[in-house]
Formats: sequence, structure tokens, C-alpha cells
Amino acid sequence: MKNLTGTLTLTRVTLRRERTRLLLWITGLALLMFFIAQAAQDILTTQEDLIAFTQLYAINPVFRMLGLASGPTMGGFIMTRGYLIFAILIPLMSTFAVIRNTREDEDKRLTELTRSHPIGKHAHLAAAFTTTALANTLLALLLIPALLAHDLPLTGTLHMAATMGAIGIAFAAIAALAAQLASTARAAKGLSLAAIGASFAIAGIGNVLGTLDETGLSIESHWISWISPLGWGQQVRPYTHDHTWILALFAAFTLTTLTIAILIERNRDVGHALLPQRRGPPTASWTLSSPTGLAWRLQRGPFLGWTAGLVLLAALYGVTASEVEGLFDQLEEARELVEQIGGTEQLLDAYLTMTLTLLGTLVAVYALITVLRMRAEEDEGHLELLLATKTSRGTWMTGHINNALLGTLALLALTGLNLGASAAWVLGDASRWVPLLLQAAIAHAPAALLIASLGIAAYGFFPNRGTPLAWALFLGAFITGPIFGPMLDLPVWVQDLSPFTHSPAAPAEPIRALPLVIMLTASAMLTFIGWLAFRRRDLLSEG
Amino acid sequence: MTEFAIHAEALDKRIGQTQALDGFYLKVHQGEVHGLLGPNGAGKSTTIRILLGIMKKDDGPLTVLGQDPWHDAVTLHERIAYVPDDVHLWKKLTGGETIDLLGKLRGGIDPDKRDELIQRFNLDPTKKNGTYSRGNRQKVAIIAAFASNVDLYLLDEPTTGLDPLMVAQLRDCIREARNEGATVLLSSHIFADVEALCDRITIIKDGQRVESGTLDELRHLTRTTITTKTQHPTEALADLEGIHAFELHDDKARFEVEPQHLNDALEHLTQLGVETITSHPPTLEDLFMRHYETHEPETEEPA
Repeated sequence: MKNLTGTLTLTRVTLRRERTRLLLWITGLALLMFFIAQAAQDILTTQEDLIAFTQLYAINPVFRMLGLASGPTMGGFIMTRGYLIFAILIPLMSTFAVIRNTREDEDKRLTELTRSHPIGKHAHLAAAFTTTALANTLLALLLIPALLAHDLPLTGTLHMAATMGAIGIAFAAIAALAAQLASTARAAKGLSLAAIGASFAIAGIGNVLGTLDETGLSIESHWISWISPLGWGQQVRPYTHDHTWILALFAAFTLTTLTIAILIERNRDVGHALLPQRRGPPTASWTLSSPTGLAWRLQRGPFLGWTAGLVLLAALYGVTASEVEGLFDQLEEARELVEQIGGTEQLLDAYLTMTLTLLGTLVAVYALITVLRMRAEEDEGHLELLLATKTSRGTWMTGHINNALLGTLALLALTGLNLGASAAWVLGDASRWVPLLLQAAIAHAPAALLIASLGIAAYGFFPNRGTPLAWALFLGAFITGPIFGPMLDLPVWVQDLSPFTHSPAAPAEPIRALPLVIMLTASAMLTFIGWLAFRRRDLLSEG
Repeated sequence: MTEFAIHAEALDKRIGQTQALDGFYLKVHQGEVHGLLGPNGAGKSTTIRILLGIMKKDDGPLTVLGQDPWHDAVTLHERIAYVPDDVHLWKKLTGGETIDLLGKLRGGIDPDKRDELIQRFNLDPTKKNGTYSRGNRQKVAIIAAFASNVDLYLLDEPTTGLDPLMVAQLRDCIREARNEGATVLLSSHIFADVEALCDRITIIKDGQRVESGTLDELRHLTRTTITTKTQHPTEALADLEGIHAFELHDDKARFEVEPQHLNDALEHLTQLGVETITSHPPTLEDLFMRHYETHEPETEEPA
């Protein structure tokens, strides 16, 4: 146990450091749950409504990606519909909290200092995990009144709250493992985010490939859902089946993952990763001789990772396209309902449109991360070194903006091509699908670039608070956008605030140029304003 | 061409609630090695960042190599090399790549000089920056700076983290640069560096210039330390004008004398029957301690 000496003290320190941030997350999430439950009750006033909407999740492959239909109960519907939000945000909260207090401290060489005291090898990891687990427990406890306030049954509520807590704790363990595998905090966050994305996608694909039971309102997922922790969360099926035993699966997974993390930490040096750093070239190649070249070099690894992820997702969505038509042959009534709600008679088009909206949003995340790299470069003191050469602020910023612009276009093009090619593989008619979906994918660029330019403006004006501000704006645009806006029954003018709302619903509808031109113009203006603000301010100084 | 490489008068800079520079004067002649001496937080790094045009001065005329560093930053930076006080480098790049990158961005690098410096500083250029110690990261910045031929070197505490052998190499680099006609501004709180290298010195405290001049000029303003053993008691000396810090150790007396009272003090001493006497001029350390200790109470006096 001497490896854990000091855990209690460090946990107190960690709680002190994290309390404001984590309490904001927890109250925000509990309130979100309250409002989602409220919205569900407002929309679904009759049993018929409930059945109709559950049917939508049961049979529409796009909705199947987002939540698992388990039968027509109010609580079950809230779980199905809220799952995308909570299964992403709760793991994000855990990931950031764990990595901030492990790998990030190591990067800053803080761990080196604390470890020179009589403190155990695993005390930091234990303190970070304990704090995050406590936060998730508190979140679960707060979710209970948020749900009971809407007169939902107690057993289901307890299962739902426990599931959310269990997801958060499981991803805290995954982040703890990522912190051992990666050699920097940035890479550790990247690994954890990839785990969240993959986990959600695998669960969703398992649901898309699942089979309907005889009621037509509940899905038996394909077995691959069971390899994803976010899949287990759905399989608890609170309010309909209440599979308590799955919580034990979470416990076993968390313990195993944590044990692996500890075994790795036991054998590695502070500040180093599992894999030793390789040597590199002694001189710079010609590509690394300009600010743009440097920006690209810094973004190369993340870009390749995103490319791999998006290409894989697009291919998976593409090859499931043939299932869409098949599913609806089974149920004629359901088909009519979905066509009515989906806004188009072409189910396949509706499916591909929704897929591109999802993937387009992911590319916007990439664009934002790429421009916010500027803030990291400034904060880490690299910008100061560059500006002391004949690199001007403008050249430097242009390098990063070019990088974001070209990266965004390349990712969208690759996404569109892969979706088109894989859809054509199962549907035939490549000459139709490939250009159609390529065009539709690229039409998501203006919204992504607008999000990125919001990031540039936030960075230019508020170097200290720019990053969280930019993410808050993104989250706002995401929630009011086409994925959640209609679901949350938001007024049209609120939905219109989101750039994503103005991305074309292609291929379901034709692409209209005007909204795209307006978004590109707005994006250029915001970028220019951000540049003006950046040009006239001091750099962040450490002193 | 102006006579001054750096000319700043009454420079003001406020950062948040702190007045980082408060009417600071700095004049650096072309071709000299100028020491900027001050404790942590005195405003040394702020001054250098303003000279680089990374920070904008609030007030006060300022030219660097005859240009305005904020407006002419880019053209100016072709003629300036900078070594920051705490060097942060891109973890993914190797040391060699970083040296090349910074050199190219400055407008060119002398490949022979680069290789020679890598040899002299004993740096492995194939290692990633993330694996370097602080001293090695410092070396990367120093090599990148001296591998390009510029007119002005701004070095912010460049010896921190270097071992004595590497400090000697750096001193050679600075002397070679001066011999080739370059100007060097060297900020430090390490007296030995400044004493060994600098032609002129500016002492900064709380964002103000306390003193400046050549080492000799500053010595002129300061006290000589005398240690002596006499036949007769020396206590009476303590009351003489211009004598400070009088101490008795067994049979020896040790005290400091202001330059203008040195003759009086010696006349008194000879009457006491001097057996042994040593005197030494103030080291920069003495100078420094005096300014930063004795000036403190004065500034606290009510106006």
C-alpha cells in the first residue's frame, strides 16, 4: 500500500482544484436531464404519441444510431433520446478531469515535484480517479430528483442514474489508462476522445444491425454492441427492463482497466510514456521552413487520426445504407410515419443526409480544435520564439488558418468520397452516389469554417478565456442545430442561430448557394475581426 | 545609423494591476555588451519583450536599431536574435529541426556555424525536444541565435541551466559576436556573467533604472571594504562619517568606506598602528545587494 501513500492528501488537493469546474458540469448535466425530461412530457401527451416516437427510434436507422428503443414508456423514451447527450458529455467530463490531474501535471513537471515528497507511485492516479468517481456519484445522485420530479417510477430512475454514473466512472478508468499510454496530455485526450467516439459508434452500429421484436417498439441489438461500454449503458434499458446485472459488468470493466493502468504506471518513468521517444532527423526538411510548414507539422498527427476515424465511420454508415430500405419493407405503417417526420419520401436520402450532418459536425470539431491550437502555441511560449524571428503575427496566423481550412476541406472530401463509395458498393450506381455525396459533404464546409472563425475571434479577443468560450459557442450551435433542435422542440428562431441549421440537408434536398455564401462571408468577417484584435494585443506572458 | 542600438526613455508598461516598467531608461551603444541586471520580477523580461515588439509599450520613446519595434517588428527581426529566459520548444520536433526552423524563419542560417556550435555545445540534434533537459533546451535556443549573423542579440538570462563548461562556451560566443561588431543585451541576475562580459551595465528594480554605467563608473559610486588589525582599539572609527557596517571579529575590524571618505579613514587608521590591512573594491554582488537592500526603506518614507 506504500504506493498509495498520500492519496488522501492529494485527493483533497484535487477536489479543491476541481470543485468549481466539476460542480458546474454536474449541475449543468442534471439541469439538462430535467429539461429533456420536461420536453419529452410536453411533446408526448398521449400514449399514441409515445408509441409513434418509440417506433421512430425502433425503425429509423439514423435514430437507431443515436439511441436504443426499448419499449413505449416515458422514462425509456427519455433514456433513448437523451443518450447521445449524456453518453458523450459525461465521458468528456471524466476524461478532462482525470487527464488534467495526471498527464497534464506531468507535462508541466508538477508531478516531478510532488513525487519528490513521501508520496506513492500511484497516488496521483488514485486521487484523480477518486475525485472523478466522486463527481460521477454526485451526478448520479442529482439525476434522481431531476427525474423523479417528472413522476417517473423509482426503480427505473435508480437504474438510469446508476447507469450514467457507471458510464462516467468507466471512462475515468479509460482516461487513466490513456494517461499512461500517451506521452503528452494532448495525445492522452486524443486517445480518450477516440475511445468515446468508437464506443458510441460501435453501440450505434450494433443497434442499426439489430432486429425488431414482435411489438415493433424494441430492438434486440447485434452482439457487437456488447463490446462497447456505451452499448452496455443502453442495454440496462432503464424503465423497461431494468437489467441491474449490467452494472456489475461496468464494475468489472472499470477495475480491469484501472489495474492495467496501474501496472503500466508501476513500470514507467515519470514524464515518459510506455513507448520510448524515438530519435528524429538532425536537420529540418524543406517543408519545415515556414510558419505554415510548422503549423502543418504540428497538426499532422491529429489530422491523420481524424482522417482514419472519419473514413472508417463513413464506410460503416455507407455499407449499412442497403439495410435502410430492407428495414422498411417489413413495416409499411412505420414507413409512412418516418417519411412524414423525416420530411422526405426517400428514406435512403434521409438516412444519408442525417449521416452527413453528424459527420459534418465532427469535422467542425476538427476545424475548431485546429484553430484553437494557436492559443496552445501562445500559451506554451512557442509563439514568442517565432515572433522574435521575422515571422509576423499575420504570417503565423495565416499558417494556422490555412491549415484549418485545407484540413476541413480534405476531411469533408474524404468523408463524402468514402460514404459515396461504400454506399455504391452495396447499392450499385457509383456514378450517381459518389459525386452526389461528395458534393453534399463539401457543402458542410461553410458551417464548419464559421465555427472555426468563431474560435479565431474568441482567441483574438479573449486570449485567456477564448478556448472555453469557443467550446461553449460550439456546444450552443450543436444543441440548437439540426440534431437536437427539433428533438428539444426549440423555437425556429433559436434553431436558426446555429450555423449547422443552415448547412444543406443534402442529398434529401438540393443544395442552395445563398446560405453557404452568407456563412462564408460571415466566417471571413469574423476571422478578420479576430485578426485585428490579435494584432493589437500583448502576448500572454508567464511573468 | 544611430549611435545607440537601443534607446528607450521613460518607458512605461502596465500589465494588469502591476506597473511593470515605470519610466525606465535604457541606452545601449552599438557594438557593446550591455548587462541588464535585476532581481526576479524587476522588469527585465518585460523590457526585452517590448524591445522585440511582442509587447506594446504604454508610453515613452523607443528605438531598436533605429526602428520602432512594434511597427517594424518583422524587418527588425531579421537583424535580431533572441534567447528567452525559459525556453519552451515543440516537443515533437528534434533539436536539430528546431535550430533550422528558427534560423530559416529569421531569414537564413549559416550551416557551418550551426554544425560548429552543435559541436561546441555538445548537443545531440537527433533527440526530440520533449526529452531534453532545461539546459539542453537552452542550448537549442542559443545555437539557433548564434548560428545566424545578426546585429543585435537579446539574451534573457541565457546561462540559467547551463553547466560551467557551457557557460564558458556561451561567453566565447558573446565575445566573438562583439568582435564582429554586434551588440548584445544580456539580462541576468548572475553577477559573474555580467562582470565577466559587459562593457556597460544598467541596474533595474521595480521597473525603474537604479543606476547605469561602466563597471568602473559604478564602482566609483560604491564603498571599499577594509579589513584591518591595529595595535589600538578601533571602535571610534565606527562613528566617523562615511563608514558603514562596522564589525569587530576578535582583534580584527571590518568596515565599508564611501569613496570620498577613504582618505580620512586611512588617516585615522595609521594613528592606531596598523598591523595588517586588506582592502578590495566592491564586487557586483556587493553593489547589487546594497541597491536592493538599502533602497527599500527609502522608498517607504512618506512623501
